[in-house]
Amino acid sequence: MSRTDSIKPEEISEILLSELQDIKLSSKYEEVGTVLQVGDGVVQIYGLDHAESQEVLMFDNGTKAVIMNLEEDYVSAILLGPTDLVEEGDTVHRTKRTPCIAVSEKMLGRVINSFGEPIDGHGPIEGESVMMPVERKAPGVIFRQPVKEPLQTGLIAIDSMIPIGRGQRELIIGDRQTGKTAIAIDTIINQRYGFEHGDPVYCIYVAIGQKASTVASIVETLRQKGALEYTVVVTAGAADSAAMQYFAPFSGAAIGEYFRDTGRHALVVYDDLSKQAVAYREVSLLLRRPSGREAYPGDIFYLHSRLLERAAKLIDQQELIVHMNDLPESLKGKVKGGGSLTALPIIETQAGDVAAYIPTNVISITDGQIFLDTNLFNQGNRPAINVGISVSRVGGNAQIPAMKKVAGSAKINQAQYSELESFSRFSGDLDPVTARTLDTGRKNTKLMVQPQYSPYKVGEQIALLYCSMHSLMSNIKITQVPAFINKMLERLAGTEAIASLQKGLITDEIGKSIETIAADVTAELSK
Amino acid sequence: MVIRRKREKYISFILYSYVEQYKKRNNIIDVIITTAHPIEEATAYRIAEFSSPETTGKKVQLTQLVNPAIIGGYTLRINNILIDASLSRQIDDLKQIL
Repeated sequence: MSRTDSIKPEEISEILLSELQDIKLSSKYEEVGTVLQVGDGVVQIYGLDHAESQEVLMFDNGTKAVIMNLEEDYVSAILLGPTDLVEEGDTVHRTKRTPCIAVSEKMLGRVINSFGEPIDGHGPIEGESVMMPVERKAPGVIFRQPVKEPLQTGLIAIDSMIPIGRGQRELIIGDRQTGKTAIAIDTIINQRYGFEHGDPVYCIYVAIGQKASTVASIVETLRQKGALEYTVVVTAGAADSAAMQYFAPFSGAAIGEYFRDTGRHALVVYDDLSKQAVAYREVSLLLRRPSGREAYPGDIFYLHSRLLERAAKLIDQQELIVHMNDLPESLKGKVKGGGSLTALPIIETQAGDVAAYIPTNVISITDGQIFLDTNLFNQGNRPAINVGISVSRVGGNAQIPAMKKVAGSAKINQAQYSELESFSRFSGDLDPVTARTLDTGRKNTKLMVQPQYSPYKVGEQIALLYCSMHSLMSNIKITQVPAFINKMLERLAGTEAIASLQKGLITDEIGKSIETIAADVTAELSK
Repeated sequence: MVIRRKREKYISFILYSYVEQYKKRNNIIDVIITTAHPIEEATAYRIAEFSSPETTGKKVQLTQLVNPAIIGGYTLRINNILIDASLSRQIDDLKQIL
C-alpha cells in the first residue's frame, strides 16, 4: 500500500476495495511429491516427475530444500533447514525457481545467513530489493575488460610487490594462524578512505564453517574501524548444515554481482574455501555421488572455478553490457558498465603443503597467490608474506604510476636479499658491498612489517618505498625502522607532497622533500 | 530377489513404484480431499469428479481429511497433483499481492 500514516477510518473500506478489485483468485494446480526418506540433511522425494535440477522445493511447514539429484523414480534434495522438522510422508511443493537471495542497499552493515536472512538481531532488512540468483553463469569474454584499476589493500608488502586490481582473483594461502584473515580484514578496513571520498568498494565477507565467536569478533572489529557501513557479512558457521556452508560463497558472489552489474566496485572475501570443499564433499557423499581423490566429488574443481569466474571487471560500453549473458530479470533496466567484483579466496594448507589437491586446484584458477609462511610469522615478520613465491598475474597494471616507479624493483631486490642472506650465514667476514646490501635488505624487510588494522594510504606507501629505493635509512639502526616510519608519516601528513603522491604523481621536488624529511628524522633518531 | 541382489535400501522405492503400477493397471486413482469441516462422502465424491478430469472413468479411492487450518474451501490431491482451492492459500496470495 502506498498511502501515508494519516488514513482516516472512513477511507479504509475505499482503499481496500480499490486494492482488491483487480485481483483474481482461483484454484492453484501444482505438482507435489511425498517424502520417502529423510536423514542427515538429505531428503528423498517420490513424485515430482517434472522437477528440475537445482529447483527449490517447499514443505508444508515452510522448510526449503534444493534438488541435487534427479533419479528415475525419485529426486534427492538437500534441506536448507533442520532435518527434524521433516517426516516421511510429508508433502513437498515445487516452487519452479532456483535459489535466490534478496539483495538490497540496506544489507550493508548487516550480518546475514546464506539465504539473506538477518541473524544480527537488528530486525528485517527493509527497502527495495532485487532477487539475485545464487547460481549464475559468469560474464562472457565479450563483456569483460582487462583489470586496470588498483584495489589498495593498505599493506605495503602487497601493494608494492603483489598488487591486486579491481576484478582480479588473488588467493591468500597459508597454514593455520598465519594471518590470512588479517590480510582480508585489513583490506576491507582500507576501503574506508575510498568510501569517504566518493570511490566506494563495497565489501562482502563470507565466513564459512567458522566459530561464531570468531565471526562476532570480526564484526566488532569492522564496526570499531568504521568498515561495517560498507560491508555485508554472510555467515554459515560451524554449527550450520553442510548445505548452508556450501551455498554461502555463492550467496556472497550474488551480492557482489548486484554491485558489479550496477556499475560499482565490490570486493568479496571467501574465508575459507577449504571448508566449503569439505562441506560439498559431505553433501556429495550423502547424495551417494561417486567420490574421487581424497573422497572429494569429481566436480570439486568446477565448484571453485564457477564461483571464482564470477569475479570480473566489466566493460564500460553501456550498449553492450545490457546484453550480458544470464542477466537476471530483476536487474534488467538497472545494468551499468564499468563495475567490478574482486575476489580474495582463502585456502588453508596443512604443514605448508601447497601441492595438495584443493590448494593446487584453486591456485590454477586464480590470478595469483599470496603465500603466508609460518616461520616468517614466528620471526615477527607480519604480514608473513613469502614474497619469493607470491605472485600477482595482473602486476603493474594494477598500480598507480608513482607506485609503479618506486616499487618496480622491490620484488627482485627482496628475492636477491633472501638468497644473499642464506649464503651469508656460512661466511665469516663480508665485503662492504655485501654488508651494505644485507643491511638494506634487512631494513626493507622491517619496512614491510605492519601492525594489524593499521593500513597505510597509497601516498604514505609510496613515500616509504621511496626511502627504501634511495637507501634513506642507511644511517639508522634496524631497531629504529618502526620509529623512522612513524616519524616520516607524521611529518608528511597534510603536506602537498603526500597529496600529490596520493594522486599517483611523483616529481623531483616531491623526491627532494621526502629526502629532506628523511634526513631530519635520521638526525633525530641518531641523538 | 531384492536381498539376493543387495538392493535392500531401495525397498521403500520399490514398494511405492509397485503400488503405482498396480493402481495404473487396475484403473484406480487415489484422491485425498481435505476440508476445514467434515463433509458428506457423496459431496466429497462430487467435488473430486468435478475438480479434475483425471477421475473420469476411474475407480476413485477417496480419503477424507479435516484440517481447520485451511479455514474454508478444500484441497484435492490426486496422485502427485494438488488442487488447492482453500481459503488459507487465497489469503496468503492476497498477502503477497498487497
